[in-house]
Amino acid sequence: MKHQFDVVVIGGGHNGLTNACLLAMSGKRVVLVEKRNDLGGLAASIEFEPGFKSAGIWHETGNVTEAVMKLLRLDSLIQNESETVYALGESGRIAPVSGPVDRTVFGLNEVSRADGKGYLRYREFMRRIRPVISRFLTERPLNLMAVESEAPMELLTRALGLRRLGAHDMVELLRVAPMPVSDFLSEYFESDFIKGALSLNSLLGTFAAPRSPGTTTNLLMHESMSGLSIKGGSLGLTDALIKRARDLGVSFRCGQAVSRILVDNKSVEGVELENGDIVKVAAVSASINPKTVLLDLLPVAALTHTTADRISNFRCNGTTAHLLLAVDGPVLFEAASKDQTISHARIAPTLDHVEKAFDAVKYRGFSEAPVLDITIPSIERPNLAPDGKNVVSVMVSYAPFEPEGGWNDAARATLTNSVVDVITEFAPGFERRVIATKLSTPADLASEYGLPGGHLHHGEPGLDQILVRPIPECFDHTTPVQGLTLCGSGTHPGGSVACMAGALATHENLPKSKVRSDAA
Amino acid sequence: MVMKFKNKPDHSRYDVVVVGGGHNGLTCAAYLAKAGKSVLVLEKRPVVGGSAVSQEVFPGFTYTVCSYVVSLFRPHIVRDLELARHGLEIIPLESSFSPLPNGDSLCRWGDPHRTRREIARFSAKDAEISTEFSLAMSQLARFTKSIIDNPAPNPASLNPGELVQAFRASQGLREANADQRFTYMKLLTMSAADFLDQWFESDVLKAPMSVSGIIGTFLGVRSPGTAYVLLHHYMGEIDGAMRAWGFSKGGTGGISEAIARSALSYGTEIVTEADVSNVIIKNGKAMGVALQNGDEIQADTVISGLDPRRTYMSLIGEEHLDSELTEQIGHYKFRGSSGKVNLAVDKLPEFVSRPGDGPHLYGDVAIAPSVQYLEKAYDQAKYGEFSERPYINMVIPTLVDPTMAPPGKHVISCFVQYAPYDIKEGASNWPQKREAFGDAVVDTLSEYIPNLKDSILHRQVLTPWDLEQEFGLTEGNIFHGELSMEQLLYLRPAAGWAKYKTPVRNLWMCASGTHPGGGIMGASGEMAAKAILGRHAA
Ligand SMILES: Cc1cc2nc3c(=O)[nH]c(=O)nc-3n(C[C@H](O)[C@H](O)[C@H](O)COP(=O)(O)OP(=O)(O)OC[C@H]3O[C@@H](n4cnc5c(N)ncnc54)[C@H](O)[C@@H]3O)c2cc1C
Ligand SMILES: Cc1cc2nc3c(=O)[nH]c(=O)nc-3n(C[C@H](O)[C@H](O)[C@H](O)COP(=O)(O)OP(=O)(O)OC[C@H]3O[C@@H](n4cnc5c(N)ncnc54)[C@H](O)[C@@H]3O)c2cc1C
Repeated sequence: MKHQFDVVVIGGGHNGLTNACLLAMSGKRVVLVEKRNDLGGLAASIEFEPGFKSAGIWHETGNVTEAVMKLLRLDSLIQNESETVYALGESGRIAPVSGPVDRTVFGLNEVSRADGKGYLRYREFMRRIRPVISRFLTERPLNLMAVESEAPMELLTRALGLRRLGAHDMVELLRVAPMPVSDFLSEYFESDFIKGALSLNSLLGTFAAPRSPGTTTNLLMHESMSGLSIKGGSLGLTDALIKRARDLGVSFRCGQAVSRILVDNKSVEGVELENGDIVKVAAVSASINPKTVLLDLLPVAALTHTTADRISNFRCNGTTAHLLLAVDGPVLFEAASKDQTISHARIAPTLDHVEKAFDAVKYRGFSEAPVLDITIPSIERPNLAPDGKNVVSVMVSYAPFEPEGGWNDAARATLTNSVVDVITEFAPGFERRVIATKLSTPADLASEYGLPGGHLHHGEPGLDQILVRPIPECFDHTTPVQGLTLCGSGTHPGGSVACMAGALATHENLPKSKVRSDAA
Repeated sequence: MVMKFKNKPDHSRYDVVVVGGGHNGLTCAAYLAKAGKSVLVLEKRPVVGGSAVSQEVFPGFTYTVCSYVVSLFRPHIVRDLELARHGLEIIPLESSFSPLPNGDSLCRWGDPHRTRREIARFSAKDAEISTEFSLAMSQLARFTKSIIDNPAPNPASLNPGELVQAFRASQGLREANADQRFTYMKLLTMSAADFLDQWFESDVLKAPMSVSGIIGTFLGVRSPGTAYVLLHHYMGEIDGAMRAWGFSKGGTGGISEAIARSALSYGTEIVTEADVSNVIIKNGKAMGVALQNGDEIQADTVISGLDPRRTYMSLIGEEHLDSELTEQIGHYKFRGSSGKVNLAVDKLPEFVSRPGDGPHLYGDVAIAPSVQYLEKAYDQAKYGEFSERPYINMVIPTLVDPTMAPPGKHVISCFVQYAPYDIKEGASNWPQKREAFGDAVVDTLSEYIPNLKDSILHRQVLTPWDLEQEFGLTEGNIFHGELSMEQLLYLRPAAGWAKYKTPVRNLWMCASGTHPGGGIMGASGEMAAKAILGRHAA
């Protein structure tokens, strides 16, 4: 029987789009179904106030890899410069914590010579371990659960890869990976606000705080991979992916969620959309959270008890809210000098401050002094806001999925006001410039983007859920259902490398995919 | 009766001098003496045992001052050193009792059927799954055994011997099936609370189970990595049978004394009130030790039973170390988090939830009413305060060994967490907070045991500062350093120096700051002795 399409891709975020492009490049006829009216998922722009548009929730494109961009033939978009993030500290202190190394060190030296030196050592370590981390994040995952099969040789080769670091770095990597990021950063830095700001590289979006063991792994994954960026940021990437997909003949059905995956005799038969339409296909590639795919979209009988149990244990407790602000005029941080344009700043004055903000969320509360990751996308893209105005986008840590008493108007106002208050402390007069706000709590993110628990990484990146993501049955993007592939951030290698899950997943549909040879 | 020792060694030189008469130092000494070495043990305190010690603190009342239960003491050491003949007697704990603030309680018994019935009062589902859980854990505990009983291989080593060792250590795990491996991976990485959430629904059950993951560490039940210690509960080996925890007759000092008697029987000399100031080092080689009183004793081999910071920074001294190792030892974390309150009482505690005497008093009592309670206790400690409502693990040793108190009276041992070493006011201000800490413990207990306050005859409060001052535990860490992943196995105490060796020739380490770490196991002492003997043979 001949269907109109070979594959349905569910979800139009970076990973879904990447997946669709690569499938189309291999000659498949692909239709991508997206629940929202716009493509781009968490990286899509939204107009939250007439004339004010966001640049999506995630802005950074620092974690793209050349290999994937090459595969997509989008490597011309890569630029060799990462953006500068500034850490803001109490008593008017400011320092860069990313960007070109020499400039960062220069800026850090102004605050503390020891931190300038520490940063050099830090970057140097990240550079040395990059090959190992990069291999882990850009190659097919290893089946840790079945080491008796073909895997021993592979395990051995990978272990040897680790050895290539040399005994010293290998032991150092194994020593620091399980550490809490607070201890790791304290081995390199002395200034509290610098440690606080850097800790967010590992903590944003997670159910973890600086003292949580294992968070150094997330930091290593983030920091050793960063360095490049995409022209135009995440919107530039989204636009390019959409255009590429169109050029490759991918069809789109936007504004329609997939409500069921049809299965016959353990094989995919098609999908049913919210409006009742049925699309018959033999292959489905789902970029949405694996929990949704396996527990909500599949018929109950498609999974064994054990598998269903395991996936329901996949932890997705969102902790991060997103606040968009329409602002009149520029955002003037007190600590910035006249010639400093700050488009990305962090307010995490001490590690204990971050830790305390997290304590609240454990008991379904939120802190009155939240930790903020602030971007002003309209600086680079003035067309996001009317003339003389700006868009400010804030990741707010931490906020629970469901606070005690629910996300009623009072709770929403309290959270919004505390964000504005914290920013105003560092940018006097800010509160008077705010024209409009739009708060997305984890619960809002859940309903808007179909994210269980409102978790922005599609599942907690704890060590256990990094090593096997999401469950052993689906460790390599396949599922127990023939023809059903998982390709979103809830699969290897998670949300840490842009587009990578979408790229690695194609190899299951396409045995001759170039992903592996190119990534290697 | 607490054993007495002499205060002066008979000779001025020995084959081996062991610094510190904790249970590991004694174990190491006994093995070496048994192998024919002349061995001298130098202990700073008037009694041996270190933190495995029983002392008559108030006339007529013997406290198991620090540690109070045993689980992982290696059964082959009991056999090798003939400890039963030297008086070791361990009586299994029959129950684990958790009273609740609402007047209810959960008691887990040695008998699994009885436990299941108890759990079913809170959740039928949990009762049903508990059997499966125990089975899964016991199977995995077996795989872990080989890790405890072998030196930790270094994965970075190119020495084929080490690779063979690594292969052997992983043998158990290679025999595991995929399911078991998945569970094991989770145990290694997850928090105790998250791990238990995947099995059980009842907080009343999860809370007391989860605490095994935090004992002695400065982590909470929601901190990743704490699940692993759950296995230790299924690894307890009393008389070689895999079982949970036990009491030592006479308190845990009974264990140290049995080892001391064994060591003496092989000709070891034990000297107490001998405070060693440093190891005498010439040309990178240990020649003997110097005491605070100026005495010097020569030895071919010196073994430190002290923790890594004391060993490296005091006994050896920075001038004998390269800067990298100094830095590594500097990074090694202690951060004591626990204290101890010992009580002498004239009445047995009477629990609101289970009035009267009863078998629930014969095991351990855990004040751990909910996961949130435990996590909040941790949160408070993170910022430099002791927990006002702490986790308390209480035992009544006199119910097992009535000789520890005058007739009709009892001693009660309370292990308490969290009491951070670094309080806001600074660690040296602990003495001003000591009684407030003791009060918090008694107040907490009184909520469950209304008759407690009136029954107290004497109270001993040990803060982390006291543990440091009195027992030589740096920053009051009860395990000679955090048992966190980055300080275990081949990294304990430092990469490259995990096999009981130090960079100073003929100077070795044998205590809890080496693999496999803290707790009354004897394993470090035994493996250090074997490493030394192996080397001498070569
Ligand atoms: C600090 C940090 C920085 C990051 N930076 C970047 C970055 O620069 N670039 C990047 O790509 N990632 C980044 N990430 C990763 C990011 O978290 C996400 O992982 C990524 O945006 C997810 O892409 P996705 O395609 O997997 O999923 P999503 O973006 O969540 O896309 C899924 C799509 O599926 C749709 N959908 C949901 N349910 C259904 C349904 N039933 N039917 C149809 N459609 C449905 C949703 O509406 C959504 O559009 C970053 C993460 C962190 C923590
Ligand atoms: C409060 C508390 C409760 C505990 N509860 C339990 C429990 O219930 N179960 C369990 O298994 N474990 C428990 N532990 C841990 C366990 O007791 C220890 O890990 C174990 O006893 C350590 O033995 P060790 O021989 O390695 O070191 P230690 O017992 O610390 O021995 C070191 C010895 O060296 C001596 N010393 C120090 N400096 C000098 C010097 N300069 N010169 C000479 N001698 C010196 C000390 O006095 C001490 O005797 C507990 C510990 C504490 C503190």
